[in-house]
Amino acid sequence: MIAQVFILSSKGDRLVYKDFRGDIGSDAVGLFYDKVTALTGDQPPVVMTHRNVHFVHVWQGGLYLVATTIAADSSPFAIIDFLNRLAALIKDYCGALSEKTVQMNFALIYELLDEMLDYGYVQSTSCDVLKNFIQTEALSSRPFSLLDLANVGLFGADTQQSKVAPSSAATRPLQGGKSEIFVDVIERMSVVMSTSGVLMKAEVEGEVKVKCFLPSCSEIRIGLNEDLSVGGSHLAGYGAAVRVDECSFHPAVRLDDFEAHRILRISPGQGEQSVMQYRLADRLPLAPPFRLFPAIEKDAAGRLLMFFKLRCDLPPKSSAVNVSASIRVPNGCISLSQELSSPDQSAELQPQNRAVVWKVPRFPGGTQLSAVFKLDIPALSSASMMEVGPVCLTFELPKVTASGLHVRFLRLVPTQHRGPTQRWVRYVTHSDSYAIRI
Amino acid sequence: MAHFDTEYQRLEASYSDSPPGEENLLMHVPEGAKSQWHHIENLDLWDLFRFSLTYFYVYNLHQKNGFTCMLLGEIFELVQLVFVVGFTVFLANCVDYDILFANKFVNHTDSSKVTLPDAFVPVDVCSARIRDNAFVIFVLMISGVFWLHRLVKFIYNVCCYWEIRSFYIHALKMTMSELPYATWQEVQARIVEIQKEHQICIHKKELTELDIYHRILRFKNYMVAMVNKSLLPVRFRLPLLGDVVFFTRGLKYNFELIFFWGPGSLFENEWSLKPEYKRGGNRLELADRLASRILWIGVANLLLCPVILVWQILYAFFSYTEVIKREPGSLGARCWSLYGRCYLRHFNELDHELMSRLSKGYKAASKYMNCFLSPLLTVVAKNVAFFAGSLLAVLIALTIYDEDVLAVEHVLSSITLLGVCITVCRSFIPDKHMVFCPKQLLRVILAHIHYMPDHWQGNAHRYETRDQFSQVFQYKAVRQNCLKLLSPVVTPIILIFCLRRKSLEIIDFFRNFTVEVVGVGDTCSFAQMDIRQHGHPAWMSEGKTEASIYQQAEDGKTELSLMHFAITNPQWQPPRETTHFISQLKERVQREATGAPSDAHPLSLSESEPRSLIANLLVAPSTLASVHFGRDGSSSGHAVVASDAVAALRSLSPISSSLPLRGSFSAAYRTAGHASTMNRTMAGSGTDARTLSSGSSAWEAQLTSLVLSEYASTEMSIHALYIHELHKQQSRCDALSRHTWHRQESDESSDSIPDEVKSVSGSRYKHFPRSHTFPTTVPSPTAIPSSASEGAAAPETMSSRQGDGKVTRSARVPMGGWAEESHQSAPRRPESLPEESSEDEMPPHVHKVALKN
Repeated sequence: MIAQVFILSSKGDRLVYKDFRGDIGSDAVGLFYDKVTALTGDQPPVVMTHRNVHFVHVWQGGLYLVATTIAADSSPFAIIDFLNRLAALIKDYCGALSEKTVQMNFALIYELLDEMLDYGYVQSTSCDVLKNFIQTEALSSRPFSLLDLANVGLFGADTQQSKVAPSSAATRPLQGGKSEIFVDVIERMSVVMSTSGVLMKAEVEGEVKVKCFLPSCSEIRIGLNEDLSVGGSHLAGYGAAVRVDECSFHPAVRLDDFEAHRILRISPGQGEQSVMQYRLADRLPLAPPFRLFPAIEKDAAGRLLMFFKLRCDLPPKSSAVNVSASIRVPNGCISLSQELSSPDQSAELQPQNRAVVWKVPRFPGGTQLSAVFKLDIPALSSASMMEVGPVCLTFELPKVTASGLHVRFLRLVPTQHRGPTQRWVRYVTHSDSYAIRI
Repeated sequence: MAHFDTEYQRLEASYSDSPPGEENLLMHVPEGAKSQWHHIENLDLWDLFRFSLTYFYVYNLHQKNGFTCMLLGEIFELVQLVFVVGFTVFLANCVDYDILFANKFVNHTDSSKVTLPDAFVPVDVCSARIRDNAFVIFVLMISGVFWLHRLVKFIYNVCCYWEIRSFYIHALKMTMSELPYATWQEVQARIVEIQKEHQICIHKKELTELDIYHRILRFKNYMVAMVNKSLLPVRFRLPLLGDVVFFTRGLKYNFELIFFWGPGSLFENEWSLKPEYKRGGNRLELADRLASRILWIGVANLLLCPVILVWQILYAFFSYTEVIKREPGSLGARCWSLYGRCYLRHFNELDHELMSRLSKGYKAASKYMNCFLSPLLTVVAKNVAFFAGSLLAVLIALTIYDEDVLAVEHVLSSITLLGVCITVCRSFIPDKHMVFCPKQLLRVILAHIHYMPDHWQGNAHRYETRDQFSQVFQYKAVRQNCLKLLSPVVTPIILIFCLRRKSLEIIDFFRNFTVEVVGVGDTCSFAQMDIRQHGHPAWMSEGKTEASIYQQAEDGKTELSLMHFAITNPQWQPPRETTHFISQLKERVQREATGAPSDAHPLSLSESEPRSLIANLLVAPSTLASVHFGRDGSSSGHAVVASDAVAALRSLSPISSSLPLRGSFSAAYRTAGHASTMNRTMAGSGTDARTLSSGSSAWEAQLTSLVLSEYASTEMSIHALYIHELHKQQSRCDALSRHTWHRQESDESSDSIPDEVKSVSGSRYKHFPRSHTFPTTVPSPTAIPSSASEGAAAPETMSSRQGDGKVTRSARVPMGGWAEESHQSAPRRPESLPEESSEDEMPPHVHKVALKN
């Protein structure tokens, strides 16, 4: 049972506060914030205790979602799950989870909390159940833009606009709007690579998410690659097959056709669901997207010279965006001078992290970038040369899946609901941790 | 979910996205589920619709030479309509004819001259007269509604064309000013390019030329196929007139209204047949429904008949009186009839291609028709012309002496009438220098029009042939206008009494011959030009075709269309079966040609007469005796193909004396296919095909696409002749009456005979060229009977000759670029085969395109 639920902004402002049982005072909010900020490091512990009050929080979208309890027998995992669920519901109802949307929709969130919890006991967290009780309309902060009008073409010969939707299209409140389905195939990549380019560890964790804006939908079918093989069973063959090592599905997914045709059948409710999660280790079908060719030396003036060539091994048609390489440098760096191969790149020294961050907004496949960094380090020794590295990359690869998984089709089994349904798919591979040793 | 910048892509509703088990349901014969499915997906189909229209508009805009021309043309059409109605009403109501004819005098104070404004009725009287006349009001109202309809359509069109204009400018990067000078092939190549980059058609990765053609010509292909299978009631056997073809614009409009786009037509929209018509279950019921609709449309036609008739008369009057006055000879001019255009059209042939082809054949065709002037008529015409001429001469002489003669009543009109009379008569008097050579002319015509019923061949000199030919090639002013005027009356009769009876056949036709192609929609399966599906065993596709008689396209239409399409679109990658057919045909010709130079003697033919050489080629295969004729014929300019080729060559090579050019020049003669010329080339410059093509590479830069298309048309001509020749032999060899033969046995696998023919032709050939290479000795009495009368021996020799004509064409130099391409593409194709092999195993009606994204 949960005594209080509150949502704090990252600055400690109390956005939403609801007390269910009244056995803890409202000073718990300040207490919690003090405890969180008092801790150093990135992530404070999820469960904290002050006297006999237990604070459980999740950190999502720049907000602290906190539940407190004094009952010693309540399960922390149940509370964590509840908070995650609350975050997801806020996302579904308000479009996104951020300080702004929470501020705009606090009435809606209170209403949600009222329905979800009764005297601290969880009643329901299902979006479909809750929508019968929720009356408040979500407010959306989407500004009016001329771009939306541009989509209205008469006979428009260029369909480019109607073929893509911005990534923010999926972050809108559930009610109203067009009936659309968004499918996300998101893969996280963890790679550790040696200097010579040998993969020491490579792992891809993927997820297929469906965000459904249909008021009613009896069943959708998602067809994945027909040559998808799960586990090592089909390892022979020509190697073209898409392989995942293991996968798990949402309990609601019916897998009748999965063996034969790789079709997932699901009756989604409104909102976002993670339909399938999968993992692929070691043998990636694609070459790792980035390779680094470093050269590090000490010049005559006693400065540390670092030459980097970064090559993007994606197919030429795709490209990586928001690439950022963080290069760990020795202690005591004073200044950085840089030579970058194009003006849109940037690099800066972050002394507190001991890192040089090199940012490339857009990196087309098959190209190579080079950079020269000169670091002034007063006490440069050969030992401190060893402190250079590793290089950690963060990036986003639009329209690429590292595993090769694709959505072949998405079909709706027709219901009474008529009218155009737009279906969108997005493939993203992003870096979980992509480290290259030097 | 973390924030990503990646955009969402639309997930297309492709037809290929259904799971394997449901393919039949969703692709081939859609059951009830599909219509709903369509409904939900209609956004995607909207794209399809838009683009099926787009290509049509893109083509139209290109044909109309850009936006401004199109706009002006449409505006003037609207103005013309207003003018015709307004002027007619004015003439009927507001002119005082008594004053004009001077039956009534006007009393002017100052002068006695009658001016035009005097003849006009005052405005108030005039408007009162119009207001009182209910009929005029009725006509005005109807035309007003019609005009408004046109106006709305015009505005809609302008909107569409404006979009297309921006499509041209932004996507295809062509300005409107350069559009009239770009060929359609260029535009098309750019579209294909664009598709690769931007995926303007969302259902397919790559657009082929065939897809674009399908979209532009969807309904026309159906019409061509229906005419080909004689489904449409356009031929009638009338008691007095004999065989008559009645096919007018109005009738065609009605057909289209019924089948394609009218309310309740077979097509539910621009691209797909209504689902119920795709199922065989309730065909009888559908046929009933169609019959009743035809009946209603027929009745509507009957009701509107007077209005249309009046309109036709007025329009004909306004548009033709001026022409007849100016050049009365145009009364005797002929043009290709509407039926002819349907009959002669290949599947997937665009308007401009057809028109250029037919225009090239025009001269020969009109000459051919002129060969048949009846001597009786000639005598009468000569005398009438004499008498009329003498009267005219006297009148003119008198006028010159004193022009007051003109003031005498009816002198001016009689001069005009006599002039018209003389011109008409003159058209019946044959040219003094004309040579009667129907056979050759018919061959030249065939080279351009590509289609011809079997029984014309060898009967070129007969009146029956001429009469039948006149059905496709008729008098423009007289016959066509008569038909036009008759049309409003006859059309409802045809609809009600003839077409209605065929409704069941029509339903069956649309069901059986409609395939759904991904990204294109429903198209006529004939237009797929699949030899296996629709080939005719008597037209070179025996063994390859699996078509039943019902499925075979008549007159070798599938085969010829295929060749035509492959030649006009050299970049097109046909499916495997088809590639096989094309390459086999080419190979066959090549083989027969390579035999020629080895055996042929170096010749001492006069170089000065290239025309006659080429004419020989065209003429020789038909009969040996014609070689003799061919010279005459060519000297009088009959060999149109030849002169085309030569003219093209000449225009190309102002410096034809330089050596490489010379090589290619002579190679171009090889194009036209004369063995002796080829020999000279071989002997003179020591070239073989390779050096020729290398010589040609120097040329290629200079070759404009126009010239290329010229050569393409020549190539197609020769192919058409070759195919026809082969068909003739074969039908002679196999059975005397092809019709009974192929109608009775549906699927015979008589591969043996053609194979035999081929092999014999190879061996026999060696004996033949001797006579061939000495054209002067050719008309020897021994050679003629063997070739002309006996079916067995002669045809092979013919084919071989015809063959080398064709072969040389493929190796000829100005086409070197193409020849190289085809050599390259030959090895390329097998590589692409494995991908396509899966398609081949599928039922041919299902076309599946893998969706990559």
